[in-house]
Amino acid sequence: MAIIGTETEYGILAPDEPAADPEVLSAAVVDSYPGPGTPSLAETHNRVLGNGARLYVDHGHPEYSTPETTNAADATAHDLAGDAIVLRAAAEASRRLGVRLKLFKNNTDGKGSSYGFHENYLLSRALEWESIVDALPTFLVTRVVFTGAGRVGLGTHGDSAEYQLSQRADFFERVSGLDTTANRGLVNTRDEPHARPSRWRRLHVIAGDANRSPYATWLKLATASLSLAALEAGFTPPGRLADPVAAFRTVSRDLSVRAALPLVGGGTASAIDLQRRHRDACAAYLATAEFAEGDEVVREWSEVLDDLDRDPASTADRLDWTAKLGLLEAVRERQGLAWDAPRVAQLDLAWADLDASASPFSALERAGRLVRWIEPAAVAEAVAGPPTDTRAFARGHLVANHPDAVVAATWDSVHVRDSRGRIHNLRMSEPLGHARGSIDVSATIDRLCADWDAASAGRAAASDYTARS
Amino acid sequence: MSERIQRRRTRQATDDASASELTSTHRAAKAVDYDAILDEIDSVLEADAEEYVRSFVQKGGQ
Repeated sequence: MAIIGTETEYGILAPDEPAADPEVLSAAVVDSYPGPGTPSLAETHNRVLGNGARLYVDHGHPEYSTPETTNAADATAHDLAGDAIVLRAAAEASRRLGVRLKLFKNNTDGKGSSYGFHENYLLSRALEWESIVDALPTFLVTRVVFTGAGRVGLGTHGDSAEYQLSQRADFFERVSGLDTTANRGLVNTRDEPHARPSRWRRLHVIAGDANRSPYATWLKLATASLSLAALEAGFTPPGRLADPVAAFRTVSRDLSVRAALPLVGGGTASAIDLQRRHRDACAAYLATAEFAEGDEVVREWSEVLDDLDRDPASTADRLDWTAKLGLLEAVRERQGLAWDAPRVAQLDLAWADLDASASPFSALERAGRLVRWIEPAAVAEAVAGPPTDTRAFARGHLVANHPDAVVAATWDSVHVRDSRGRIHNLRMSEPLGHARGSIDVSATIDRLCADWDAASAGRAAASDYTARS
Repeated sequence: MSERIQRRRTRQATDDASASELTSTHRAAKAVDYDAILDEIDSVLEADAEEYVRSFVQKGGQ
C-alpha cells in the first residue's frame, strides 16, 4: 500500500503593499487560520491542524503539508484542501492586517526565485536506494509532458518570454543531491522518514510542478506511487536518459512533445516513449499484485500519452500546460500580442491565483472545460477531518477534539497532558497504525493516555521477549 | 483502506450539453469560448498588468 503526502509552498503578495515582508505576511496567514489546530507560537508559526495536516512558514512562504494518505485520490483531495485552507486563512489575515493578500499555487516568480511543490512517498527500507537513483531521473524528467504547470518565460529569470511546459525545469542543476534551495538535484537524497527508520525510507521528490488541475495532480501522484511500487517489486523499465538535467530543459521547451532524448548506451527515445516503458512496467507489476486505483491509473496514463502523441491540445481538458497554452494562444491571436506582452504574463500569473474570481483556470473549470476529477465533497471532507486509514486520524482527532490537552504534535508523536498534569508522549512510529477503529473517539483524554501507555508497554514487553528469545 | 477510493471518478464536464462529447477522446476539440472566460476575470484583474507582474517578487524557497 502506498503512503503519500504533498507539500506546497504558496507564492504570496500584498498587491497594494508590494514591499511588505513576506515572512510577516506568511506568519499572519498561518496564525489566522480559524479552523481547529494547535496554537501558533510567535517564534515558529508552525501548526498541526485538525485534519492531520501541517501549516507553517517556510522561506517566506505559507506552506501546507497534507496528512499521510494511502492513495492518489485521497492525496489529491487533501492537496486541494490545502488550497482551501490557506485561502481561508489569507482572507482572515487580510482582515486582521488591513491589506489585500493574494496566494499563488506556482513555482517561480520569473525573477530568479523558485519554491517547491514536494511529493513524499514512503518506501520500504529494504528497497535498494541505487535502484531509485538509477530509474527515477528518467521518470521525473519525462513525466513533465503531463505534470507541467506551464510557464511563460525561459531561464531562471525569464530572460526570453517563450512558453515552456514546466515551472521547475530551469531550477535543477544535478542528478541527485541533498539541497532543496540551491544546486537542486532531480533526486533528493533527504531521508527523514518520520517513522520507524529500520522499516521505512521517505522519498522526497522536489522536481515536480504545483498543478492547478486536480486531474494533473492525481496523475502525477498516481503514476509515481505506482511506479515506485513496481520498482520495489523489481519491475524496472529499460532506457535511461544520458543527461537527465539537460533533458529536463529539452522536454520542458518542446511543445511538440517529440524531442529525441539521448539515452545511455546510444540511441534516443521521446519523453512519451520513455513514459510508456514505465507504464508497461507498471502494467506487468499489476498482473502480479494488488494496488489501489492501479488499473485506472494505467488506463488514464495510457490515454493521456496517446492523446499527447496525437495532438497535445487534445489534453487541454485535463492538463495545466495545454489548457493554459490554449488560452494564451487565443489571447495572443485575438489581441495581436507577442509572448512578452504584459497581458500574457499577467494571465500566466493569474492562472495560479487561488482567488477563483481572478484565475482563468477557475473560469475554465466553472465553464465545464476541465474534467471534474475530484468531487468537491471529498475536498470539503479533507478540510474538515483527517484521512481515516493512517495515523493522521489519531493526530487529527487529538488536535481537533482535545485541543487543551495537546502540548505539541509532530508527524510521529503527540504530547498530551492528562487531567493530573502528567505529560504523555503518544508515539506513532507506524504510519499505517492509529487509524480509525484503533482509537476510541469517545474516550476522555485520561482514558486515551492510559490505553496508549498500556499498548506501548505491551509492545515493549513483546519486543523485549522477542529480543531475549 | 479509505472509503474515498471506492468512489468512481467521473470524467465529465459540468456542462451537461457537452458531457457526452467530452467523454470521447476528442473532448477538447470543441472550441472553448475564451472571450467569455476572459470577460469573467478581467473585471478583477489589476488594470496595470505590467506593474502587477513586476511587483510579484518571491523569496526563493525549496
